[in-house]
Amino acid sequence: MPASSIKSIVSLVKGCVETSPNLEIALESNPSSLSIEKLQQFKADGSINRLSIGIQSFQDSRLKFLGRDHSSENALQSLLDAYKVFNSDRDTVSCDLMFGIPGQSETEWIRELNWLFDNINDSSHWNALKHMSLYQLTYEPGTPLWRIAVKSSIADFNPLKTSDVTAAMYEAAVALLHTRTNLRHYEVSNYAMPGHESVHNMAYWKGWDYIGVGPGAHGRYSDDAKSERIKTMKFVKLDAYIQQCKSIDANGTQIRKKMYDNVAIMKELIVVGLRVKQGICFENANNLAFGADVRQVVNWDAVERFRKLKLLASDDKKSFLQPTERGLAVIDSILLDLLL
Amino acid sequence: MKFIVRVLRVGESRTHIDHGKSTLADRLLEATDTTETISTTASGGGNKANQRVLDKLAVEKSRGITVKAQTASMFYTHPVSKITYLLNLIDTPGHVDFSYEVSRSLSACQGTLLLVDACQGVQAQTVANFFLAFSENLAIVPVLNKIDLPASDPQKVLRQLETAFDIDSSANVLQVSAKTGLGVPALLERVISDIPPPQSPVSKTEPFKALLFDTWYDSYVGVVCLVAVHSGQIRKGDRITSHHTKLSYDVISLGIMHPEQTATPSLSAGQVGFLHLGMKTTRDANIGDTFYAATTSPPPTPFPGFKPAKSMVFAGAYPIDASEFPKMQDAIDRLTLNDASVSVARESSTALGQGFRLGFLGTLHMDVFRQRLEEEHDSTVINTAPSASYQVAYKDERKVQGMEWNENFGRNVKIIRNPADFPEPDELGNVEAFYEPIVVGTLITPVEYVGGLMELCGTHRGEQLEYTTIDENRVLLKYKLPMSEILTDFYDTLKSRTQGYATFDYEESGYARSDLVKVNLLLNGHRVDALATIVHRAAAERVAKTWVKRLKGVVERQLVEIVIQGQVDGKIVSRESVSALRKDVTAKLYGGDVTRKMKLLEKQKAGKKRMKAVAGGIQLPQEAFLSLINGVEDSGDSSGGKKKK
Repeated sequence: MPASSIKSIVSLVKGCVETSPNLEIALESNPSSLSIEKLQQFKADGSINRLSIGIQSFQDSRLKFLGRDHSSENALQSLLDAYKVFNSDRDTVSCDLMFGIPGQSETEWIRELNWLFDNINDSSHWNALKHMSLYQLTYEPGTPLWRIAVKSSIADFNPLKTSDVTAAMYEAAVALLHTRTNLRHYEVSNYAMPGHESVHNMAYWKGWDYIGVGPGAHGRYSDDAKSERIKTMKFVKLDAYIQQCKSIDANGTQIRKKMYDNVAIMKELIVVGLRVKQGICFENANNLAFGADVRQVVNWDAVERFRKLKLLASDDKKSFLQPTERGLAVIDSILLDLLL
Repeated sequence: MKFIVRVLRVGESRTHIDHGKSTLADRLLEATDTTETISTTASGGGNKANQRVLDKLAVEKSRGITVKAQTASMFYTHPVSKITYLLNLIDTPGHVDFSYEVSRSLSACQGTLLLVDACQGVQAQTVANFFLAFSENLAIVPVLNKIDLPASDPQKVLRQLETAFDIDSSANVLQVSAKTGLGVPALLERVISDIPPPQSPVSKTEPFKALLFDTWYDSYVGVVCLVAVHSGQIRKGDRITSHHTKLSYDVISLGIMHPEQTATPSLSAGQVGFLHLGMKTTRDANIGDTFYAATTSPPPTPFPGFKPAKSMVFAGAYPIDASEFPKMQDAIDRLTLNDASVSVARESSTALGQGFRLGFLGTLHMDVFRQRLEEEHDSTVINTAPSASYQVAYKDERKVQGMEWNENFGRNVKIIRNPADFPEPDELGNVEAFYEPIVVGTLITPVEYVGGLMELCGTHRGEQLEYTTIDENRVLLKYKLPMSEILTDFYDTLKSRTQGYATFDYEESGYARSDLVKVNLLLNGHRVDALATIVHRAAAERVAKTWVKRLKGVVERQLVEIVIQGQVDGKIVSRESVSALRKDVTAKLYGGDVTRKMKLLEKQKAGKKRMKAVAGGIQLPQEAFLSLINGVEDSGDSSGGKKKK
């Protein structure tokens, strides 16, 4: 996408709504589509101040397995270029990496991270290391990767039965970033220097409203007057989406508007909220649930059990609920017992 | 219509695999125009030919076994004499567990068809059924079935009959194929010539007297009673009295099974038929009871009655969700309306909450009932390991509650049907002796498997009583075995070691003194009562080790480490652990993923309902209890690829 398109989209949005002075405009990109010039245009013309680069791996064999068209060499170059261009205090560059790739060992993974940090350090961009996303490879049913995984039975589909290799990789990365970088683990897969957390992603996890534009995009908005929260989703198929945008009632391109009940709203707030280290502040959550007490969907006996196991933290007033570092790693299992 | 009555029963020789007996019953019903003939020559007719008209329970059709005796009346006109006979056919279960059903049907019969598979030859069940019929003085008509199969060897089987039962092989033993119908007309003629009519004179003027030999519950008409009329006649509106309860009933409706209930104006001496008496519960219908005309004075001498069914195997059954207890109670009540041989007592377990201790006639009976319960209850049932009924004699009986007088031992004993009732370690000093139930097992096997079976019986504490060669390559073995040894994998092992060729049957044979101990399983230091078992001391450590391993194989990783220990006499003898779950979290959850995640979560929560939280919140799947019982292959550390998520 050329920077000019981004520019027109940004100015269109700014013309529609009032924006905050420290507005974050984020862009996701593959390393192969980035050059110094392009990066500069994104920053200058597109007003982009947050760039996520989907590097995934610095190992060519792993990139091949993942079906990426970039090499480890140009991935590193793109990252260092981005650090060079997005160099103001307000700018954030995020490097997205993946672990749990078949064949990858914990040693290889840690060596890869250390190699990256050495390179960033050697190129004197250490201060630009403000955000990383480290994802465990997941197999989405129906994707080619999933089919490969099933065929060669390489995938760990059931975390309750699997080996601990990916768990060890996850834990090792948490520990390494903690000791070697200034980044803090703030969400399951995300690490940031304080103040550089992804604003739009935090919106999902805090349970704020968001507007999704584009084929298949989801959104949520609250109608405070009616105390209702509405889900929106756009057509997934590109043709249908374009056709609808061009039609007379292009105004409402939602294909689904679904009001959901208060219990569902409250449960969703818990599920997304416990993915972040700071957890859930019930005063805020209750406001988002139109004043209902979100604590009523929580099994507090289970909370007590998890507090004793040092997987969750809370206070006796039940004013907040927070996962510990260990709790965060198993939060899906916790949620099964936690939600009523 | 004039007819002469014959009552016969089809006895058979094999269980599980063979459909011969019920298929022959089908053919007899067709040959007498009781049911429509089903063409076996039409394409695909092979399966239809085995429709098993008399097997009415779903479980009978699905497992190919007869559990409950079924009755049908047929009219048969002799081709030569042109006399019409009324034949009453009772199709009885072949398996030893249901010999209670068999023996009560026998008393309503005059003859039995002893069906022997012409390919497989004489089986352990054939021996049991032969002697049962023999002891009841019934006319026995041996019939070789499946002679249409290329593998059949009638000559050899005839020699076996001669060795085993002294049946003269030259006596023109009938050879039939129940599948094709070959030989069925000759069989009917033989029934007329060889099976005598009921002994009492067919006198309508004598007072009515009948034997109640089966009942079941029908939601429309209440209890249906099957009776064999001994003397006199009964009509709609007649008033009859039960000898046992002294209650009197008006006959609302009556008739014969043809093969469904078919109303007739009357039932006369010699006939077998049903009565609707407006009885509300089968508890009022005591099998073996005598019904007589209410006007008879003085009341006639009753029939001797039957031994009540005796439970041999006990196991716990619990709802997975405590709130479902009343629903499960209803399901059990409904099932026991038609199977009074299951004993039911409430019990409670620390680990599983409120549940039931069910007593069964044997392990097949248990399996069948459990399957029916799961279907009837329409929800998950947790079944605990089966246990025999043990007896304990104490030195100082005053310290013990619940002692019962035991006729055979001439002293008081405490009966233990649940491992939870086994004496605690501090009470063992007061125990004088433990007794366990013993059976005498009959095994018939091709000679090449004898060694394997002797070893199997040896490892199950068997003691050989008899070794008979019944033909050039078949051997009959008799072993004394503790009941508990045949409760779990004995039968399956026997079948697998002999490629299915050996057959096994048993009868109870009292109690013997034994050195028993209780094996406890502990989860994170907490004893789980529902996972305990009683075994012989010699086997205790092995069982403790195996069970701990098996449990490890089925327990999923949880948020805490799980230590599984096996304990014998208060001492830990085995230990395994399942380490705590280290990672279970979705890697990416952004705006577009939330809806899907919430759906998945609800699905997983529903799946968790099949888990039971026991000691310290550790969750055990329903399969955990079953795997201990059945010894699901110790796949321990193999990949969990097949597991759902």
